[in-house]
Amino acid sequence: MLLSAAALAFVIGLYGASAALRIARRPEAVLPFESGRLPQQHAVSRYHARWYAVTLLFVAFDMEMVFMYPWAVVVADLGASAVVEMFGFLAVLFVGVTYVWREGALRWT
Amino acid sequence: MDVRRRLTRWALARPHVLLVSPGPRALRWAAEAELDRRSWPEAGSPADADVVLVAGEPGPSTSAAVDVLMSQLPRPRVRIDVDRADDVGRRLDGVVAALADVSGQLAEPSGDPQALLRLGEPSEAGGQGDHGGHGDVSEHGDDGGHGDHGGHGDHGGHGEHAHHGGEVAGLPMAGTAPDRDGLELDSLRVSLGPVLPAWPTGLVLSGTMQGDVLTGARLRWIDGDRAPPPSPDDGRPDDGRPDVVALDALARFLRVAGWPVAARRARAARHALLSADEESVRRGRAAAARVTRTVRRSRFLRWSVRGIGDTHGTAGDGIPAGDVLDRAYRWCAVAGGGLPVASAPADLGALAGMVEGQELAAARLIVASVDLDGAAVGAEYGRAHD
Amino acid sequence: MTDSVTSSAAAWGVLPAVVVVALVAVALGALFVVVDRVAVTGVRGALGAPVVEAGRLLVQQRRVTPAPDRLLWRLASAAVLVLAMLSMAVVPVAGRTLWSTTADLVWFNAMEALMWAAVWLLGWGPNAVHSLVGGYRFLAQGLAYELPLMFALITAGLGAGTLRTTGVVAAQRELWFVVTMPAAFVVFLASAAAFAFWGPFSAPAGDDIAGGVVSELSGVERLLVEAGRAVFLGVSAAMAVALFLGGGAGPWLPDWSWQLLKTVLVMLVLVAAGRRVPTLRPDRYVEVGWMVLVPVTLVQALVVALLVLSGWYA
Repeated sequence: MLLSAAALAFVIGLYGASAALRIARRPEAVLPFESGRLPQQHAVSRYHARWYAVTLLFVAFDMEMVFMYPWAVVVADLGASAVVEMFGFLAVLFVGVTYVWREGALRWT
Repeated sequence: MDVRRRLTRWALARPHVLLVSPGPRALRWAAEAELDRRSWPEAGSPADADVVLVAGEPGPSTSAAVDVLMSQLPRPRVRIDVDRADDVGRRLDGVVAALADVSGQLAEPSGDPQALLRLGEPSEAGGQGDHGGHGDVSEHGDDGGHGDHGGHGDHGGHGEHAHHGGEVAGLPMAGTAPDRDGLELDSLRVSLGPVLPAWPTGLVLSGTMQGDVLTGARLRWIDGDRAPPPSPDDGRPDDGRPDVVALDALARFLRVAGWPVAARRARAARHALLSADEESVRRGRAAAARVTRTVRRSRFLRWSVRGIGDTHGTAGDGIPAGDVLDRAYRWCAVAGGGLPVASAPADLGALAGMVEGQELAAARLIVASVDLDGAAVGAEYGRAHD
Repeated sequence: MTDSVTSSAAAWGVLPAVVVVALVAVALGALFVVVDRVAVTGVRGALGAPVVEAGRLLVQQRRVTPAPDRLLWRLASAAVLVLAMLSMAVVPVAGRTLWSTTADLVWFNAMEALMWAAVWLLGWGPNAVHSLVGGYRFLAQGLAYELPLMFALITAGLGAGTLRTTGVVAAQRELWFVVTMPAAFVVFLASAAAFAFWGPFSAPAGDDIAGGVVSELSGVERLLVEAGRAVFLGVSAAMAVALFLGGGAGPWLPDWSWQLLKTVLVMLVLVAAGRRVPTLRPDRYVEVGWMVLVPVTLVQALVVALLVLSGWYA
């Protein structure tokens, strides 16, 4: 926690240094970069993330990973059954990934 | 104030430079050579830049673009104009002092983005006039209900998207349009160019983006047919040497492909080839051979860009056959002296067709894979523009 | 490593330990910038590069675009550096981590996972198109590198039977983990480059989108982001040494110097490899991430699990 405080203090220190050193105190109000043209619309639109299918797959896998951290610690104690169960489960998940891949969801261009 | 000036001077000893090059290629090469010699990085955007270096005489539209860019630079900022190759070094020498001139930097009035927006884009032939709607440029048979893309902020016609509201800070929100798969999605009007890193100055691609997919793409040169550039001031007819042109194109392609180290090596080889000294030319040839070998052998480059911008076997309209990788390899061959440069520069209409429906990264690679910047050997400088 | 106190906060007092760790994090970042500069533009001026570049950004004016998401944008740029420094908490300095918990590796993973939010917000904040594209590119990239990275971390923890970094270092007294976990080592370094969007994984800040997520940043905000990326890379190199290269173990020289030496070596390898290749496009390697890296790291984890059962690491 104290390191967060130190990191924050460092950030604030940099802001302070910038305030003391930078030649123009107020930020420059500028248009967003549009290659030298004027922007025609606000850029913050609903962005079409064409890889949305991958995000679902990711969430499924990621949930499982959370269990794998404690598992890693106790493998030596639990022995072969822990390894068999974990990798059996992972194998099932990976069959799912392979299916998704075959359906073409990992490519979107 | 003196301490501050000295501090600023020290901190800005290696300023970042945004290069605008409306002039002849040889002038840009001289500018890039000087920047590389000093290890001054080329800026990616105005926010990253301390200096705008205008190499050549900008036309009215390019001038307007440079003004917009200047207003986007954080201070301290400096614009320098260079029109002679042997002048570049001297002008760059003065840059650091100008940047460290704190009171001078502050005396300059702040820009007002709202005023810039109200003023709008300067009118130009083939420019703003035909922006109303993009039915005329899209191949997808646009519905007519989106003529509100005028861009000047005086059409508030977005009533059909209630949550979008009207204008915020002088700009309308993006509208929606069917995408290439037939989904109704937000589409954002954008332009690439006239000034982008690793992009021919003066070329403008306008279109709409849905996510990062570019549709309704339209390419043109601003400032119309640019007058034939004056012959290089130092009298060396280097502007059209195939090996040098190819290394230039290769360096640009590599930069767009995200390989700055190789791009720098290609530029270094180009600088050496342009030297008057026999020994450096010889070294330049060896360097060119090395960098083209690196590029040809890179499995990662092959894997990352293979298949993009494929002409499916047909060459034409100044666009060599194959995909962007084939065209990059072609530059390698030309740089090695094995091939002539294509006889005609690429046709913008054909190129616009190729980038249609591509994602932004692919579109950039496609544009970077063809010869657009200046004419090739023996071709006329006045380009066909759409 | 005979010392039983593994947390530097306990050994040196909280405040001095925190200051030392923060300074080491920044120094590692600066070191990375120097190494990277040498690779890109050569030796000249490289040594002073981090200081001069920081000075340039400190005297530079800040910018603000029309109608930005100002709060989130500024928070995001600060977050990149803060997260990078926080991840240093579980990296051993002179044989001790700042604090030693039973879940050090999870902490490192969590700091890096928060980068998803930070970088996306960085792209979203300024209301600019190139920046927005960059932010979404980072998310696509994250989908590819995150799982292999987690498997790599878990593999190291699995071999040691603990998620405590000092425990992982101690477990390598006989044999460095890189010998039995080469795939995890390589994947860890590649993922570090990916979450710092550097080198072949710099698509979110690519030249083809004018700098992407950093394209609208100037002044101190740009400094925070660039420093954060460098610190993350430097810290990751040090973490790779702790997890796979035996930490400070080595003959004759004291622990800290071996650790520094190995960290610099890892940085050199990372830069040499990373600058040798072009940017890899996320839409191509998401597929590779899932169909090659995930199975490879899984097999790696399985091999290590079997070795654990056979008593190899005991």
